[in-house]
Amino acid sequence: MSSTTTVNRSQTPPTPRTVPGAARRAVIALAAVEAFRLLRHPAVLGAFALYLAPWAYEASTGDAAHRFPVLQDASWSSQPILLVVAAGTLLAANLAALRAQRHGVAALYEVLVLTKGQRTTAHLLSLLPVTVLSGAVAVGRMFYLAGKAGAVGHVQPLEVAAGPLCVLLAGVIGILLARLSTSAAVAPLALAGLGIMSFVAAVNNTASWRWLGLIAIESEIAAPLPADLAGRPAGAHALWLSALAVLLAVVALMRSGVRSLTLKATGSLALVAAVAAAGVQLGGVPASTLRARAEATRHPVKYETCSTIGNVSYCSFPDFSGWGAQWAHVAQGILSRTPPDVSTAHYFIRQRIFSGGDAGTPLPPPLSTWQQDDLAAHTPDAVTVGTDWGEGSAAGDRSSDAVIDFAAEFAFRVVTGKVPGQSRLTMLCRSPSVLVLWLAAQSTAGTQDAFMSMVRRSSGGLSLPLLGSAAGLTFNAREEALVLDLLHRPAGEVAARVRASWAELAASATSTDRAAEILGVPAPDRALAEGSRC
Amino acid sequence: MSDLGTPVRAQDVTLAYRGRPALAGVSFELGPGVTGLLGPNGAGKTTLLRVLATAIAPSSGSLSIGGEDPASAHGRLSIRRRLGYLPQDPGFHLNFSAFDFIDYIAILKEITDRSRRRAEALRVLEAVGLADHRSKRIKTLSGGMRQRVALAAAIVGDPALLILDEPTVGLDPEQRLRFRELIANLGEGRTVLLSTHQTEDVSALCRRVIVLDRGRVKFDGEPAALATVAQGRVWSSAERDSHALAGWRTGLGTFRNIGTPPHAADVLEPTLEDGYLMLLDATAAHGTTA
Repeated sequence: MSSTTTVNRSQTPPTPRTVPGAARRAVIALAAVEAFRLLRHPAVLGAFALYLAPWAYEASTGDAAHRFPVLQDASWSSQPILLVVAAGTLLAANLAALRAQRHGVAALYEVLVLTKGQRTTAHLLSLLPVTVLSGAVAVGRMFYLAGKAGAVGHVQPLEVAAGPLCVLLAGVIGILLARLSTSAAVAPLALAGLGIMSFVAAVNNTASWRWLGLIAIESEIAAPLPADLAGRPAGAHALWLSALAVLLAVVALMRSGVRSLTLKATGSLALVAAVAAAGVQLGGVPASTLRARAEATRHPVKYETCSTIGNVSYCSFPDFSGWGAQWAHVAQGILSRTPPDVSTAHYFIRQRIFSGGDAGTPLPPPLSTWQQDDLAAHTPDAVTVGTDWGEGSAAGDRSSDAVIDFAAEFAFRVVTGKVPGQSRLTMLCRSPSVLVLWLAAQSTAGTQDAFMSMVRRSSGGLSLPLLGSAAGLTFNAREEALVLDLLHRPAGEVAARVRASWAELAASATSTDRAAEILGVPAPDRALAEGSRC
Repeated sequence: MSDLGTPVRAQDVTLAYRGRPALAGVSFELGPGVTGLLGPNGAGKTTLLRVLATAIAPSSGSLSIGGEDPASAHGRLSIRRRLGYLPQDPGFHLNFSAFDFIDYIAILKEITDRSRRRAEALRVLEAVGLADHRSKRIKTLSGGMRQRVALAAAIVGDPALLILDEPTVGLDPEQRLRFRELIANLGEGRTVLLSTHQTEDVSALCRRVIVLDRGRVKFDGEPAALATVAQGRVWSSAERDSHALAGWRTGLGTFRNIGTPPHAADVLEPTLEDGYLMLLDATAAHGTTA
């Protein structure tokens, strides 16, 4: 028996039809299909829903928490929530890149025209739409916040870009993992690792190494800074994320069998860029920025511009000038309850920054330096206002506390004619304490909400630290109780009594009982004054 | 598609798998039409098909498919552009609809124009009788329907060389009949290599058959010639004949025996299956190449 049979063939078979650029177009077509599937993946859809749901809730409930956004802080604050989208993208991209193995189609795929490298390229390209969509929602969020009447500061585009870049990087990691292991369990494990890393970075929010993670957020208790004093290496971080994404994409392609010179050159460039970006990030806040920040802390006069509304001048860092009307609203709310000689005096408000309260134990602010500068700038006894502002109805957060802090500082200035000058908390006693606290609390709906919130969170009196420092004002529980009672009475009626007996009420010798008598309310229980340092 | 098929030429192809020769000097040539590839389990059929499909490279020997050498990247690409392959255990993206799956495969075959791709997907689904089920997710289709989806995937792009690895496994007789029709149609103008355990399929479809055993070609010729291997070696008896290499009771109640018939036996006309069994048994008995 013959082992072979010759098949006679005289004709030459035609060359298979090939179209120039067909492979490139096929990669793009595949990327489009994969992108569409990625966007429809439950993990990605769910992540976007998680991103948008709180936003929709905010919008539907009036969004009191974000009525006065500081846009440079809002820029980096947009990053953490996009990590949810990044997580969804990592999982979905990993499953997509593993689909052939998971579904047993690899044997077929390996003999089709598009190579594994080209399929990997398509998967990598498929990440672009979800990245662009993430960018669109992040930019949309910034437009939404920037459109608020109370928005101040400047959007930092590179900070906003970090969120979408995290989404891109996470997707690339998902694809790379698929090329390193065919197990679908690896991606969730990697995701858990990234989650832990991000958590540790968030906890260590002053360490420069945290910038080597996906995002770097600031301390929750740190007040916003003017944009040029922030010292966040946003550009280096965007480069870091981009370079990592490119580098890991190159590794994924090499794992898929691509070995071109261009790819190796791209990988080398990305590596150099990543190392350079890491170097900049690990350098921490530049010394020049730290110097400028210290200078702005001690001598804000040099950096600020002032404007006058009525008989009050407001000096602020340029980024925050938009809040002048808000401060004026509170100031007028206080002055409107005072006698004419008090309400027509000239007052000065000065914005200041101080980070001495961020590290746990509050530090004293440079009060004497501030006072000297204010004198030199012809803004004596300027009342301090910080870089936070909030709506009282969103009471309980740092920004709403800032409203009552400022109102109390201003009321103290109006009642006593001076600003707190002690490096520790200044205890207010007797009648002036009642007067200051009532003036501050009743000023606006926001100050009243913030006051009530603070009362709910306090016991044995109220402390209103100055910019989170060791200085500020403190009030006893008995005077606080009296003010609570006053707030339940018509403000006009109380104001009439205040104007009529201003001098006596403002006198430090006037007792709390006498103040109650003047204001027509019962004196609070004396037991509330136990332990008082008055 | 070439209406001439794609010529395939294998010369002394060997492939070792885990130190054991899976293919041991396989040589043959293929031209247009359906060629059956028969062989017992482990004979090397799937390995040979994967070599021809460019999934794995042979250890030695030469291979030419459509004039292209699969050893080179350019050659492999050129071959793949004219290749349709149905693996032994085709997997599916079960959450895809039949149409989406075929569309996806079409992209992987470089059909980039969206409207052309759509038309092609509809054409192949129509060809395998699944046009009405194109929107159904694959996980909702029966085993036979899935097998047809796999065949549809193989014929996307109208390939000139079609390699089918046991496409009729698990199909009921009606589905198998339909597959035969399909494959017969596909064999017109194409080179089709059909690996199967079903000798009836070979009889019905193939103008040529190759028998592979232990990595070697044991037979290469027309199906009728394979049947003649058992010429005069098949007989009927009322009882099981102890001299027979194999024997089984037929529906008529008599035994059909294969082997060396006794004197005056009722010799029957051999079938392709008889020839195949006789060939393999002879091979097993002699342990040598026929």
